[in-house]
Amino acid sequence: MIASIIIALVYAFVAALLLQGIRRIVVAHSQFRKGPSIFQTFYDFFKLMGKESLTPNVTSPLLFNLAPILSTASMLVAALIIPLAATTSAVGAGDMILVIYLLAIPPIALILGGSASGSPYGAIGAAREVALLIAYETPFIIAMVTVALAAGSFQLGTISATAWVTVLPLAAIAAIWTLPAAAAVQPFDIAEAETEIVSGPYVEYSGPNLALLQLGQWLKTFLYASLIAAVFFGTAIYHYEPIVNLIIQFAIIAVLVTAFIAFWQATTARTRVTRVLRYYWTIPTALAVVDLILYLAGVRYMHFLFGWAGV
Amino acid sequence: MASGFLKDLLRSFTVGIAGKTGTARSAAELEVPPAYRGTPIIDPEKCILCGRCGKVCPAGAIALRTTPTEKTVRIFVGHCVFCSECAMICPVSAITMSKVWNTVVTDRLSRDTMNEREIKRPRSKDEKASSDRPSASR
Amino acid sequence: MTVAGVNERGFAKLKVPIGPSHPALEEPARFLFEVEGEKVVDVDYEIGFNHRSIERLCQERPFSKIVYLVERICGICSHAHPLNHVERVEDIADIKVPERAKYIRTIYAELERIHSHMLWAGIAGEEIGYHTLFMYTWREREKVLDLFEMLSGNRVMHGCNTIGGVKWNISEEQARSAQSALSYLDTTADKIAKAVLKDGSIAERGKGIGGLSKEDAIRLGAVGPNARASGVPEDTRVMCKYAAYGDFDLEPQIANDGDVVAQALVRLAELKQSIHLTKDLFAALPEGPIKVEYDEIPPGRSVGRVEAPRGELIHYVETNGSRFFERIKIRAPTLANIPSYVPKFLGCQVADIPIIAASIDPCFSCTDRVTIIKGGKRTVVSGRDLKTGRI
Repeated sequence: MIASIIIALVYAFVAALLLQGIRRIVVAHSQFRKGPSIFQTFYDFFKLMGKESLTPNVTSPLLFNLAPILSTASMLVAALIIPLAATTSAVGAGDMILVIYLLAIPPIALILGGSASGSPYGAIGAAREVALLIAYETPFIIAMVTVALAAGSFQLGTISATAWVTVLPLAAIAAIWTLPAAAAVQPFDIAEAETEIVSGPYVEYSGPNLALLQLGQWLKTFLYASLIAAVFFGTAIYHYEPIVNLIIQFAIIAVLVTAFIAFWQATTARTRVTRVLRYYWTIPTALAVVDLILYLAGVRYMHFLFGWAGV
Repeated sequence: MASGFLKDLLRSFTVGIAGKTGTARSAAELEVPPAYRGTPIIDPEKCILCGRCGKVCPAGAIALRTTPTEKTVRIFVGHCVFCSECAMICPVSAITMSKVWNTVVTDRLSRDTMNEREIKRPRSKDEKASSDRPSASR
Repeated sequence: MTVAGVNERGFAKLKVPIGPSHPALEEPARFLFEVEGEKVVDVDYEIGFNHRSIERLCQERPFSKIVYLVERICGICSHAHPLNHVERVEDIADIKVPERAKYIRTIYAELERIHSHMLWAGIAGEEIGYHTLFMYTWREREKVLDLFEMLSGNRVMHGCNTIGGVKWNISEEQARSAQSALSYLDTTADKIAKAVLKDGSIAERGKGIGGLSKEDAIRLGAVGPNARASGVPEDTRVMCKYAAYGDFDLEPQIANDGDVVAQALVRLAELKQSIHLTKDLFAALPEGPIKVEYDEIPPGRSVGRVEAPRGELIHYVETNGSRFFERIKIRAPTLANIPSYVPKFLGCQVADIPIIAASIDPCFSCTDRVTIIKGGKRTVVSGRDLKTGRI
């Protein structure tokens, strides 16, 4: 058990940072340039760990310093619960509701940290992060709940025994559509818009504080994508050695990240925060709700269309 | 495009593992066009140490110094703006704008950009002494 | 925290400083926005951070060195300043510049306009978060800079102007390479126009943002593409016909409303116009010398303007018969465009601040006088106000 915990934590850390490297290289190649080394995120992280962490003259140093720890700690716990390579996760008790709550904590940490940072940029960034969070969580949660309903249980082990994209493709589309917002890249990097509010909530952080705050975000991107991969693409259907399972799942996640995060980042501009709510509460939410209603009504359209072995 | 991408990806892995990040990707010689104005170089054979280059330099990068025993002219490449006025005014065409553009040094204490292109000529006893001051931009 | 309370709808009232160092600005200037929620209600503005006492330095250096000093006022308009300067001195000393030199100067000026407008397209994309457009336009802009390097030896700060003509000649081979580079740039300009104007995210972020009516533009003294985007049909190249512009028919490119999309339309249209004009210039390059010698510059005064990429640039030069200038005064186009910020910023959202700031194509390096404008009050600061200390 201890061994699997350590392996899961180390794997989550390495995979999350490697994924950021892949994203940066894909974005760079879309822009006709080479991009940094694939390990650049590691170098950034360890460089920041070696610097000094300054706390500005803020009203609440407790909140300011707590936010990065909250962000990373919640994600490390989530890494133990999400099935990263098999049906069961590292500690064997993966509950979807708990995972969804944990995945919402890094944005909340950003909001806390931004508000506590004493800078108008942080305040505006925190306000924008609130709007973004409630915007993209809506279709995501509805899609996830639909899958849990179809699987009959909230346990991630049971859920990832089937590839739910073959039964609930609209819910899958809705969930995957929220990936760029969860990863905070264009067109949804409004909370940390550099040209407008100079990093938003991150602006007053430095050193290990900044490293941990960013690590929370990187882990969140990875775990979000791996949750989608586990739920919709069913990791347990690959009955190979665990290491091969892991590689297959990482490959699926890398493809998701490349296609839906990196290409979107390279080809769009930033939207306005007022538009984000309207954007996510219309079509993606509609897709998720349609799938929910159809499932509740007993219409198994994928089975009808393709004769797949769904539930 | 795909093979180039894979090659770059592979190179990222190897370069990253070897720990050689932070240096330039390639120190290949870039081709510069014929009219390119790089670092000015004084040809020591031709220079007559008249000092016109120092008087006309807009950046004050050329210092002409006269001591009782020798005359020196130096171009401080760190101050040079590569305008080539010195090359145009030299009466014996001793100054040429080379194609050297890479004037970065890795040793902070190096004298490469400070005292480059130094020409010394011993003064004969019957040359008139001029005051010992570096050329200013006036 | 600089929260000044909460307004009646519950939005926090904040004072947001943009600048002097901010990723939205290429050069330092300070805006202080009063913001309620995401809406800007007031803007205070301060410039002068890039003041380098260039006009004073010009009084201490002999004539031959001033061209290089003036060139380094701004990297993007690095040909317009020395062009204007040498034309003023030639006006004072009554020096007749050969035709070939005039054409070469015009070629450099138009190439500079091309590279400046491509730079603007990239910066506009960067401000709204569209990094790919930035990378793409600046990559194509490298072709223009390579062209400069081939013709003059340097990418910016060409050093090609001198009193009496130009320093570097253009050979047949260079003219041929330039023509093929310009044909390539012609197709690129179409692609850039398509990427900027037909893209959904740019239209969404730019339409109706930062509008300026024609009356306001004239009253506030806007110049250049900023004024032409509001419908003011003024172009200094057409009005003054300096250098070789008298031999060509140019029409000012005009759009309406002055919003970000209008600014983009004007600059992209001027990009195409400049590319075609430069090709015509290369084709019609007359033979002859590129420089005339001059004896000395008599005492005198001259004031004149050229169309820098950002608008009308005014130089005033006064000589007193000695080796040094008596006084040089430079009015950069961005200084005239700054008052037009006031109607543009009021009522916009915080998210629109960078794109509006970038839409008038500001070059704070060229602007070196301090002016304070209070948002909401439509006052223009006059010289008398500054002298009597009312500001």
